[in-house]
Amino acid sequence: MGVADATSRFFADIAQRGHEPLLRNVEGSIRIDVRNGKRVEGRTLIIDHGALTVSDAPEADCQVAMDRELFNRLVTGQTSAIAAVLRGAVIAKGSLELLIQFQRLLPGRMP
Amino acid sequence: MSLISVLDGNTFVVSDDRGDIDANPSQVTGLFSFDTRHVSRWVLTVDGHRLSQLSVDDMNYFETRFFLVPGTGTVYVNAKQSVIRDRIVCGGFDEVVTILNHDDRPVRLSVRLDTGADFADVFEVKDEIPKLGKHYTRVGDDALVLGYERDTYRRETHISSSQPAHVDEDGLLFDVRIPGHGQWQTTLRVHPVAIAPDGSTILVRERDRTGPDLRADLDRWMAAAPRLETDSRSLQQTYRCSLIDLAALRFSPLTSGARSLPAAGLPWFMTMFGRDSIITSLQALPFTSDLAATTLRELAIRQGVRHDAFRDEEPGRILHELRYGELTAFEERPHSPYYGSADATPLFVVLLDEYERWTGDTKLVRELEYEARAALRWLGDGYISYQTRNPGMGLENQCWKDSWDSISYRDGRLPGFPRATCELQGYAYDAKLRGARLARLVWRDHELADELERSAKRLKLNFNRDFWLDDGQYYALALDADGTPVDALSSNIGHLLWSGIVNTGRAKAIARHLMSASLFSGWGVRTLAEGEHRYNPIGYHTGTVWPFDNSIIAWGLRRYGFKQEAARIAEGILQAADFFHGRLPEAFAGYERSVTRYPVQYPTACSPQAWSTGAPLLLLRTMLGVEPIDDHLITDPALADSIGYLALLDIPGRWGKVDAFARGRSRHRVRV
Repeated sequence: MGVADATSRFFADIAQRGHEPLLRNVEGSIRIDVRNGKRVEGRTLIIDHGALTVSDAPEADCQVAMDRELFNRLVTGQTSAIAAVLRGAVIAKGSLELLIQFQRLLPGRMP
Repeated sequence: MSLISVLDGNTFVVSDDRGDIDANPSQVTGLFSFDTRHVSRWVLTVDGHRLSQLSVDDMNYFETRFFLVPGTGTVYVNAKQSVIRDRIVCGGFDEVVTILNHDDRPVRLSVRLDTGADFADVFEVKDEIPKLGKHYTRVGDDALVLGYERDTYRRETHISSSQPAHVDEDGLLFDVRIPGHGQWQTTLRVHPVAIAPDGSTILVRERDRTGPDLRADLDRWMAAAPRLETDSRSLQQTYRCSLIDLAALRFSPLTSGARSLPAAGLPWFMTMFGRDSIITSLQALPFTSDLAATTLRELAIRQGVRHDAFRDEEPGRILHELRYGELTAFEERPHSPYYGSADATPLFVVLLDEYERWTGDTKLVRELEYEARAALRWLGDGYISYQTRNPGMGLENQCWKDSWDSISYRDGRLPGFPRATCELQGYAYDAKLRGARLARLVWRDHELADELERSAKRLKLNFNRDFWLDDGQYYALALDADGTPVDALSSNIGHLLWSGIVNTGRAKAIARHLMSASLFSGWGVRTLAEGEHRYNPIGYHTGTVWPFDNSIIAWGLRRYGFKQEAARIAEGILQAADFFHGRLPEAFAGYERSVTRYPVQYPTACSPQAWSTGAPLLLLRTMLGVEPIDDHLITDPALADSIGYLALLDIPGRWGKVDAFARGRSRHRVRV
């Protein structure tokens, strides 16, 4: 599956949730750019008191960039977003709180 | 040699009393920031000689002044020069080095600062793990960069001087000429930096606070606290010290903006701990409620949402410990965050309710409804027990007594897993009743409230059947994996009083045990009773006296009406504080008071430590017997003999500000 497919599928799934009570106190947007070689595929998740929508807006309150391999590990719960920021594997700009809130949507690592 | 610390949140400098840092495994010194040691060597010499200390002025928790003279080893120092090092923590630290020439003649000196950085993770400092990455240095004009990198992980320390210096990889050299009765000065600036692969800096606070900011902030903090009036000078000193140390231990995780919560303690625990941050916030509620609000919010956004064995994460679980160092970054340690705590989750609900009772802030209770419900679901309907799912790195004991041998039978045997310690059941019982109150009052969910109350009632009934030891007339320390009561007599039974899970008819027996010679040392209640197989007066959780433990026990005794017993514990702990100049350590030895006459500090105890700092505050509360009831604060004082008069003025809360008064002996009831 190409990077575009994996990223798109993940965001399509997220958008399908529509409303996420875990994020009902959160207002903000998070842009995620995923690199695969020279290609970069990105989406922006807009959180409005728990309501989730996905857009292509380039600007966001929190901007994160990572390579595809890490993205796959992140969305399958194999790595922690915060640990990845600490080791420089994810580059994060803006509100770190939004990244922590975003991580609440992700699954745990498989046993 | 004594160590001198200056700190601001999780940035702190520990040096010897000359101001030098020469880190080795047995002496933990250095500049630490975000759980990483950014300076491990910082040694000042004049003409090749180390300096001798004349005095140290601990000006504030964030700034210190060292008065020194060149040379060591002589009995009588008659130096022609003196050296002053002014150090202040701000982002990293600034140090102003001043050399005064007391001679009539000019002098030429070779002043050298040796520098080095091992970039050890705080976990490595303790365990001496070799580094996997590589170190580098960059020499610039009057500046030096020490660096470390491992894959995409990069940390640097930037050192600069306001005066010209010859810089090499190991430090800075100054060729100093000072006229007769003149002086020379340079400002050294040390800045820790975390760098992402694109060159941008990470772990950056919105703004590093400068000296004036820190001083103004401390003044505001002290002015906002209730005023204590008492005839006990020692209590006055302890109160002041507690307030200052609590200010020093405030920590802002990167998500909280300017708001802060209590970090657990210096030097090992300058970070957020579920249990410690909650207990300290509880202790401090009558004095400040902001710490509680921030603690609740920050724990809530990091509440467990999934099953993850590596981190011992479970849906609804409140975290144990959060770290930012290299081992956490590479997930070689599970602290991003780690969830292995069995008590933080019920205590989260307890704090939320107690916070509302003091402040009337139903908005926060509404804001955290989802998380509080998830925490209550995590408690389940049976006993809380624990067993790590990460046997290599997880915590064996997930209760506050978290050392390996803390939970034992009277004969010393260690029980199996899962273990259900008694105080966890008490916390769960209390959390359910408090959760029911919040459900009715704020969430308007009567069904949930009824269900929680039924569950609490069942829990109390079962607990009093399964944990009660008829022979000893006390509650077992824990239940073993097969349900056998672990029969050691411990301080944990005092926590049960605080939670209210003790059947009224049994409270007297519990109070008697707590005040008996086997548990009460004269200073306080020992973690484990004298006479138990594993009892050791200097065993970390097997015989020492913990001030925080005693503050909770005193609160519990008050709850069941044992005012004088509570006052005795308050008196013992506060008198011990006097021996430590108002700063209670994490723990002190369980020796009988009449034998040692002074409290013996536990060898490697953390100091200041947040919940020891909070202990005198909670003890003040228990002596005054202040209790929020609706929009009033009720006072029902009981003082120990050694205190004649006690007044706490301007206690903040939903009532605005009120005063509470107490007089020794007379014990009259005062309403405010």
